[in-house]
Amino acid sequence: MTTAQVGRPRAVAEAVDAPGSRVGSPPARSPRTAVATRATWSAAAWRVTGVVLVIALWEWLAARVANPAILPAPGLVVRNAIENFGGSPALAYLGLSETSYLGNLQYTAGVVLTAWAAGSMAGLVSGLLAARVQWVRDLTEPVNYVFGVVPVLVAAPFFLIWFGFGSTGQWVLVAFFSYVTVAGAGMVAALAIPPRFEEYAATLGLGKWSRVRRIVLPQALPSCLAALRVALAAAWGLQTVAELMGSEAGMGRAIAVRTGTGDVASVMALILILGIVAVLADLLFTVSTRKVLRWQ
Amino acid sequence: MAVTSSTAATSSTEVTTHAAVTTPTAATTETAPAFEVTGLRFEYREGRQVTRPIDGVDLHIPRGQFVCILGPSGQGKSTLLRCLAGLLTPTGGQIRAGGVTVDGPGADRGMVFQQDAIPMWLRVEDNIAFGPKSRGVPESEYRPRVERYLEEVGLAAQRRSWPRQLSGGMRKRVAIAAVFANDPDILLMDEPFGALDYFTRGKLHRLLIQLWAETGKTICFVTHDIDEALVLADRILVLNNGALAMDELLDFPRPRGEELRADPDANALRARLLSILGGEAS
Repeated sequence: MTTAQVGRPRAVAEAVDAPGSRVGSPPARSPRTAVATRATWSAAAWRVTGVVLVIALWEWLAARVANPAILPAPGLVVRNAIENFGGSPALAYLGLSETSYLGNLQYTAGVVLTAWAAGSMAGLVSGLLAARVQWVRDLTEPVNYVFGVVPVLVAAPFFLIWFGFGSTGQWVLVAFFSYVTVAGAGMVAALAIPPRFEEYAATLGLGKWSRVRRIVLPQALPSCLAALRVALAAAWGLQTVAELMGSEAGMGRAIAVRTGTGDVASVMALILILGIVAVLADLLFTVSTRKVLRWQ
Repeated sequence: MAVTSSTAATSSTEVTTHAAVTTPTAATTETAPAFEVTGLRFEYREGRQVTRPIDGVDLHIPRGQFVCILGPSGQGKSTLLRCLAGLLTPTGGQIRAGGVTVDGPGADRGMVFQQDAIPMWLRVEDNIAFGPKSRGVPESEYRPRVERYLEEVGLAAQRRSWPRQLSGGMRKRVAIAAVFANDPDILLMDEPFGALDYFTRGKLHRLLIQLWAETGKTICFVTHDIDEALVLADRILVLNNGALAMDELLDFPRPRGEELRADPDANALRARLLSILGGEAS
């Protein structure tokens, strides 16, 4: 077929479709808003309950084991985190270039955030281009697919060998996997847009690039943001794995050396800090993108 | 009320004459008919099988006419409309809109789709302003039109709502207002009310007729509903196997409503249409 040059609704008000009708305007605080607010509080309550339950279980297990060298209690781990946050003599003694939990966290976060941002943006551009330009899709799709299914533990040593055990190798590793994750999701999201949206825009007189900017990008945005979020969560894990394999600094490196000395409390404190920062980064990302998704 | 056969179909002589003109002057563009279609063909291949949804259609639609294209599914109605919109490239023949050869979609031919096609990420008023704003029309020029059509379709109170907050009928009104606010010469409507209930459809018919009467725009409206065509149309075209099987001008007085069911001429036409469409369906 020769085609042309050219992309849950929930009714809250029953329409009275007579011309000039003024009915159906939502009240200042609609029932839907109230239900949504209740749902938000309910979800928050369940999340807090989950965390409290895990801490309680941890406390109980630590009491049962009764050996802090094997399973330290939550209080001990938190105290370790606080005491070593600004400076850790043990890390200095063990030869890390960063001698505090904060310094190692800054190293890890710096690599994660810059590599994730660069890799994801490249993936977004590549994925959307692949959805629009056939030869770009033919060029990138098989390559992205192959790299997408390679386990990170298999790929990571190659990146570290090729680019060194410093931050460059780690940065390339995180950026590459962020690229692969976002490129695939971006392409699928853009390809899934029903053609009638672009056709509608074309009959309103929008040109090709205007349709990409005003139809394809906004329509693909929710799926792309979801992929960015997944890539961000994965980036913390990837960076930690890369640091475990060899690094001068970073949370993964600190975990590795403390594991070597058998200091379980320090290892758990480092994991706890890393987890909290990852959750905060995810929360910040979710909150900052909520405004652009409010139409959903 | 009398029903007369149209003599508007384009003759072969006219085809030759018009085909020679590719760049009309401003004067000819203003006086040219909304559509001149000559020898239109559209075909596509699936393996070795060639399908021709449109096979030799000649058509002349004057400006300001309300044309309903009627027929059962698979007879080429939507394909014809999409060719007129420039969304499909014909495999033969020529389409001229306002005297200009159609070689793609354009702002002069707005289209309302059966399924929702309005951007769901734009509020109602932004949706209505979407076309002119995206084309770079100055706000001082399009804003009065946006306000006018917000009022006309009865959505001024919902101007800040998201489309998901509206019913199906309201979203359809947004689509109609958005197309009118873009100020096209011609409106193409592809079974726009097909998914709506009987009462909502009736209200949207009255709204559409009101807007058409006010603006004088040409409307080509695809439907498979005979009663919908009788209520709306100045002229009914019936497509059969990709060719025009019937071309009727209607002059029933407007507004048309339930009383049309008691009109003997309307009933006679309905019977003829049923006979033709029933034959096609079989």
